Amino acid sequence: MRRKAANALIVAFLGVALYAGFSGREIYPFSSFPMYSAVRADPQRGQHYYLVGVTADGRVTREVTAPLGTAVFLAWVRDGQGDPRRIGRLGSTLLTYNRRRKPELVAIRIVRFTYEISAYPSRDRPRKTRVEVLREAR
Amino acid sequence: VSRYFAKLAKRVRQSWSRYWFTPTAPFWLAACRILVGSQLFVHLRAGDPWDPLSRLGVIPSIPHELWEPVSFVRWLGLAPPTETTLTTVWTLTMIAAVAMTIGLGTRAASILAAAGGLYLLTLPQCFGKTNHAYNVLAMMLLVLPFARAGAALSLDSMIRRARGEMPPKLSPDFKWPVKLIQFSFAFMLFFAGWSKVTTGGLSWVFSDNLRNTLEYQNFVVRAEVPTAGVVYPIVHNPWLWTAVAAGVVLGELSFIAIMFVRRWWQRLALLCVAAGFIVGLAVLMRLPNPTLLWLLPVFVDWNWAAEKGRSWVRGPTFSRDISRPVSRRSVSPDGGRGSDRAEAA
Repeated sequence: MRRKAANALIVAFLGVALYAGFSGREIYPFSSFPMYSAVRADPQRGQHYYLVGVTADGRVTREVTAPLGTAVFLAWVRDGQGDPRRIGRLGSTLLTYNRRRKPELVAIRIVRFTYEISAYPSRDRPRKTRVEVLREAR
Repeated sequence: VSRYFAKLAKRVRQSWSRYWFTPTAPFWLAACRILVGSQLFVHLRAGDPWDPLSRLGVIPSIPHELWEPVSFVRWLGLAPPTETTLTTVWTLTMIAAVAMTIGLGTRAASILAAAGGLYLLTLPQCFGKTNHAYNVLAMMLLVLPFARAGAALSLDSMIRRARGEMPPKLSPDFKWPVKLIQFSFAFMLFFAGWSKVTTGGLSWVFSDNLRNTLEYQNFVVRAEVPTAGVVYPIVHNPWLWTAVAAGVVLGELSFIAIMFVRRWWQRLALLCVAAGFIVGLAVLMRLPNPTLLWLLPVFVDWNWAAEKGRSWVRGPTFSRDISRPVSRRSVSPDGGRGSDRAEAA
């Protein structure tokens, strides 16, 4: 009986892991681990989003990007970058960050910059071609 | 033909039994319990729910409209946790993680740590993006509640010994959980390589892909952190980035062999591949993952290490049978239960 239960567990564990792995379905924690599997074409152009904080002396800090930043970014990027309900939450996000932060931030911003990676054999580092502040909450 | 298939089925059954149920000593499983429990504790400690900026503490502040539950959180229809729920689950899981690590009430602690740990590890994935850094830890947690993980190197075993009970014998119960825990790790690397082959194909290795990825990781995403010197020659030499890309894919795909090779130098070579991969991720891609490095010793033969340790302490005459798996010949069809009885007699 004990052996049968162990066998059933082994088969179930391997079965789910193999199914998730080969089918590409996420059954957390079982996964196909697809991180960085897509090919980055050359030349590479793209956009990157940051959630940044602004201190009282005007310094811009990126330490606020995680972890709340991920959710805010994804909502911004996926939802046409303008859902007022969600973006309105940026102010409460600032309050959340300031609950324990000393000195407090005076503002947080969603920033988007467009970058370009030069094709080989160029040795230039990636260039920021455009930097935009998409939203700011004070 | 039927006799051939009957013979084949018998051989498969025997191989399966030998692979999963060869009686072994309890130390390897105990080491896995300590590694997983301590890593769960370390991981959760960084997610202090009273800190509103921590990985878990931030969750009650996230707007509910961003809640996109995954896996069992979706199947069970769970809502985003309140601050009270989160704090309660976190506290109980932390206590369970400590109890599991020291081996006190091991079975109950493992069940609680698995349930709470899986819930807390899954929560941050429920906001639109799955992070794959802690899947291995969660998979390993799933195995331990079903295992006799407190049979050695635990307070439970010390208490049993103080009551005059005999130390545990070699048993198949100590083998298969270790294998499943190791498979959790091996699957992660194998499927990471498999995804690269099936999604990117040959272009993943033979195009400028890795060079562009390194440029992106080092000079776009984490531009404010100084770049490791080793990155520059790679992004400037096509043959070098192609070689590194080929090494990554081959290393990831081949690591699963550690589940089947027997010789110590083969296992050591594959362990070095995995360690190199984890260090490479940190140095080249700016993706440090101490959790993986912490869990890698589940592949070290802790039964052998315990035997060596004991022979150093008590002299070389100490019984070798306590930690070595029995040989192929001595495995009986009942998976060694007979040999256990014989040994007890």
